[in-house]
Amino acid sequence: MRSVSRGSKLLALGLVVATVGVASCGKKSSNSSLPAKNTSCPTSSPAPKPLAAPTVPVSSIKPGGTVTYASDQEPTGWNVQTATDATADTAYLETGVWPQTFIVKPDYSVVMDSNLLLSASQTSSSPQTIVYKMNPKAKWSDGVPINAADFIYNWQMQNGTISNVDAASTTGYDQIKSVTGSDNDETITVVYKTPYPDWKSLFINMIPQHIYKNAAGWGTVDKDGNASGPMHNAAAPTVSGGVWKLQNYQPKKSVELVPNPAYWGAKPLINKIIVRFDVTDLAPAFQNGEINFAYPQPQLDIVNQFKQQANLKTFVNFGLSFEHIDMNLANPMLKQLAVRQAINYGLNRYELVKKTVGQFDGRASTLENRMWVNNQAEYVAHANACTDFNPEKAVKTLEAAGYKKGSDGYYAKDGKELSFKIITTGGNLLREQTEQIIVDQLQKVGIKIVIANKPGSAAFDPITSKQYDLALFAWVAAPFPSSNVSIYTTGGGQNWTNYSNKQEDALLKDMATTPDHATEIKDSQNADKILWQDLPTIPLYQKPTLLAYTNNLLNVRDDASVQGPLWNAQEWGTAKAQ
Amino acid sequence: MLGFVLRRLLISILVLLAASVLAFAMVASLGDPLASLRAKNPPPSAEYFRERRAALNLDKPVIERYWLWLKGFSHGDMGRTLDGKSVSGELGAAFWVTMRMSIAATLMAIFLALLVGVYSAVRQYSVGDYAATFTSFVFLSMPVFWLALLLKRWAIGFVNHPSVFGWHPWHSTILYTTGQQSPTLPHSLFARMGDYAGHLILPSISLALITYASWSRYQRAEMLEVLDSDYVRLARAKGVKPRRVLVRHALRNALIPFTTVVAIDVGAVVAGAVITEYVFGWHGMGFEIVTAVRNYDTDLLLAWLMITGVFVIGFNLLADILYGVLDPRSHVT
Amino acid sequence: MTELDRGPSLPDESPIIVQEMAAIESSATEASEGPEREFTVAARSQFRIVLRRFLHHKLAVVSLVILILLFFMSLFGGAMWKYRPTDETNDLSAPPSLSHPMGTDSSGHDYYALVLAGAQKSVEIALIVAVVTGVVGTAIGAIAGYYGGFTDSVLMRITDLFLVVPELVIFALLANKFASAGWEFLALSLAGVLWVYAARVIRGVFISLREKDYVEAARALGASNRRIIFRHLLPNATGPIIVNITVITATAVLLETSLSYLGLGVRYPDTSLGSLISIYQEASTTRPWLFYFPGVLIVLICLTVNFVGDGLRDAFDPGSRRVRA
Repeated sequence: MRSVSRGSKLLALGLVVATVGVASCGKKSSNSSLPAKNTSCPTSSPAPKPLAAPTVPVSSIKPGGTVTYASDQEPTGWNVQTATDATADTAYLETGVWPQTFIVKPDYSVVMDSNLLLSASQTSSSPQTIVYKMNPKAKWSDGVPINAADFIYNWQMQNGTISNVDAASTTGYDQIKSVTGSDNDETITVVYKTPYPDWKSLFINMIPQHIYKNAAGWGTVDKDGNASGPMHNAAAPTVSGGVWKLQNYQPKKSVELVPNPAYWGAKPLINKIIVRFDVTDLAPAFQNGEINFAYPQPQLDIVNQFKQQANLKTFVNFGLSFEHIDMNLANPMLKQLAVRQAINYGLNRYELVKKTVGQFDGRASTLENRMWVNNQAEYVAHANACTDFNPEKAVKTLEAAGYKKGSDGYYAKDGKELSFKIITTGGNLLREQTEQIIVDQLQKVGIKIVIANKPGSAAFDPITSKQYDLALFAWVAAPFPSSNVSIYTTGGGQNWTNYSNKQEDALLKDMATTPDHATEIKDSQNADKILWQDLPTIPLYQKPTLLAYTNNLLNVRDDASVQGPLWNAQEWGTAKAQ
Repeated sequence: MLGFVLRRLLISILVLLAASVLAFAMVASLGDPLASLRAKNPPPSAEYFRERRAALNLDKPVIERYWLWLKGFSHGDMGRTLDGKSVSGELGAAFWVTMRMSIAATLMAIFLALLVGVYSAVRQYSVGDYAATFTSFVFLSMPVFWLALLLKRWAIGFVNHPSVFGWHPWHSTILYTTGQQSPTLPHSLFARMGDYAGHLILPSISLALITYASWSRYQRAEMLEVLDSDYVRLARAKGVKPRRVLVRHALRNALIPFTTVVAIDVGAVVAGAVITEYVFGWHGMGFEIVTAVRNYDTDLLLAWLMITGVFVIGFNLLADILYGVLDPRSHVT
Repeated sequence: MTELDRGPSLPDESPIIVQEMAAIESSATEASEGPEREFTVAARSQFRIVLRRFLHHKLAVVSLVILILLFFMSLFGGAMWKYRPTDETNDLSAPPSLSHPMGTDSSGHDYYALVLAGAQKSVEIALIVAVVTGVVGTAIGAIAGYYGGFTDSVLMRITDLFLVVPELVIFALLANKFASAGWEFLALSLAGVLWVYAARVIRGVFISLREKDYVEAARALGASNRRIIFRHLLPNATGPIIVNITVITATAVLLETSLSYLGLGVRYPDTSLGSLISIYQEASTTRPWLFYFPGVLIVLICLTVNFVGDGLRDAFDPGSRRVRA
């Protein structure tokens, strides 16, 4: 007891001595001088290559076993076509539940699901006509065939015809003129009003029309206060059109994916995937055998904790999503280009990446293009974070626009201080840290940023209702540039920055409607160059993903596109004994 | 005695009523349960809002809303949560989850407190006494969440260290760090009990260590006082065996005030359980109250308050009765 | 919470009171000497006795020294340290060293500066709570205990109410609403709840004191209620009041850090020891300095406060240290 007491005393005294000892050094000078520019800038960024699919043959895998997957976020509901439920984690869960005409592989190649379709091809380019031929064996788990009726319903749900569905994006679907069934509804013909080069991105996560067509709503509560609607959070759908089927949903706790007994293709090898939503402390849960699979938001300590455990395989991968700052142009000060430029000059993105994602993976680099990410072949850098950082220029731009520095070090004009609120997902450590670095960096050029986060999924409410100044979040992109149309077009469904530029609108329209792939790419690059001039958003970095699982599992490979880690769960298993 | 109990019961009901008024006023004035709906894009129709407001009685004056709630509650209807689930169903399950942890922790803490308290009193000023005193002060000074985090890391590191249980042929989990039970429970009753126990151990030890600390200090002081009393001296002088003096005379008398302290502290144990639940990812009363507060869910919050209130008041009443029964000198009027 | 009312109540014939009685008797005869002198003499002699007893309690003395250092460091250390909490250095995630005694985080912030900023908030809040509850709780407890009647009934009913509504719920509700109100509001709302516990203890002390013979004597000699409370009861209740304040200070630190850990207490840009632990709870095996230093500091603050309180309790009330016969 005595030694403990003495120890603590020494500790305390040590701290005080340390404090007092440096007092004579005097206070550090205040931020009167601007920070220095970056000194050594790399000439090329070492972009990590996309992964290839795993290759262990099914014949050498032992069937059976359970995987317990700790999911980051519980679905708010089960229809990922709606804006409310369109979260990445929900999409990951349902990737093997709802039929998808095409899936995106880990190397970003787009491949037709040959279990669902016999063929899918463009038969005419004027008007653009796509013909899908269903596999006659394809049926929902309740025996109803998957056919043209489902295509029609999913099209109408996302082109605005069905009014009680709040569609996440209408891009592509709103260009379709007609969807018709023939040949016993097993052949589906889709005719486009205007050409849509990314037609393979449509008809994914299709929900069964025979069940949901007549449903009252998508998770409403009726007058007696009863939860209703088949997609409501309280009840997971029991029907499946894919390899997996949801069962035993316990809200806030877990849901199970079990093989769909009615599936007509190859059956999964493992017996069950238990998806848990309640695991907050992953490392001890792994160490303790409570989970054996996780796909969390990467963060330095989590990555290193996983790497400390010898029986874990840990992969950091760079996917199709990227972190960025949105600036709401409805704010009168952010409406001024000079202010947005000053923010861009004052933001040291190069340093920011080094202090955040760079800490756990040396391959992380800044993103200089909004349409393509670093490891896509089409990627071209349209900016240079390292050399663009220029505090003097930031200050000069502000002063030229009539802003004057106040006594507190922040700029102001006409009595209004240059001050903005920034929001992001509260509780996401990496984002909170990024935010704080942004606050610190911009403070040094006289721009005040105040953090105003909301926890969890509530964080996006102010963004989607356009009531924010600055927002930090990620876009999860499909490998199709047309997914950007609704973000940067005037009045687009996901244009939450209120950005509007006629030239940009024209380029994006041409990009989404040209039948020529080369023109599409050229348009996307030019559209991004305009965005670098207008700066409604500032991209930060390609978002790393973190996948960890016990090393007895085979064939696991991250698909850092929209598919997520479960895309090939039917091929997972443990090795057969030799 | 009966009159005393009845009077206390009456007062307790009044206090509960006052607490419900206070809580209702606070919730009603502090937040809008439909705020998250309002922020949706595109926003739901005005008609939908009207329907929701009508369903939740939000269109009525606060006093009438309270009256409606009280009327329902007095008929045993606790109302519905914002997402339409029955409050009694939600809280009924959560209550027993939290009780499991609280009871286990309380039993552990009583055992520890008696052991340490009696030892410290008998061996007053010995090295052991000092060590015990210091330890209990450390636990008294520790935030429960930090202790829970420490215990989780250390225990899991220890149990899974190859040199500890590395020999056992089945690699199964012994202690759990998340939730009050596994997502899929084993079928046999015995295995299910094991699963519950495995989830229960770490959280209840955390809670017990925080709780026992002050109880052991109290028990030590009581024992010292009793050991110094005339009747214990007399017993010793008569030549009664020391062990018998300690157990029959001293401990028995020191237990009377100890019992009441434990009964009064049950409220604090439940409060500690709320934070411990948070650290270990349990879905008990702690989880429910966080949900209720975050969503401004009036029915859920009020039912939560009433349940814990009845529980705490019940134990306080029990403490008073116990004191009256155990200590013949006291006279309740 | 409930440990607040667990201080052993004042034994019937403790030497302090005997001492006091002598002073009262003399003052009663020499009323012309003026009340000031009577009070100061009694207080000084009592103070000396208590001080001597306290100094014998070595652990308490050592704790007091550490506590003063900790408070000093928390309140003023941040201003003297070479780094501000917002300063970014080039050492990213560096372990403790001479230039960074508590290491750095991934942005290169000096962690000692951050911990000092957190400790400053925790200590400031605890001190505000201690002062407010000390004054308000003592005043209300004294009035309720001495006069009984209506005030007493109201106090007891409020106490009952707070017993039923857990303070965590009150804070959670308030925190939701006043997310932007700042740490001062948090401190005041903590005090707004904790004073009840202080008042309950002081009430008990006053109830037992008001029946004492010397109070009866003073009353018989025509002393006013005010005089009895301020000249006779309050000095005798000093011990329990001070001990009570130490317990509340420790409780306030634990409560505030718990709330901040849950995200309901101190919020960015302010920081607290609890929020630091909440941020770095994953770091305990990878960057242990980020997890352990704030936690150890909380324990150290509360531990020394509790030891000092224990020493004071013994010093004011030697009965609790009776040696076994």
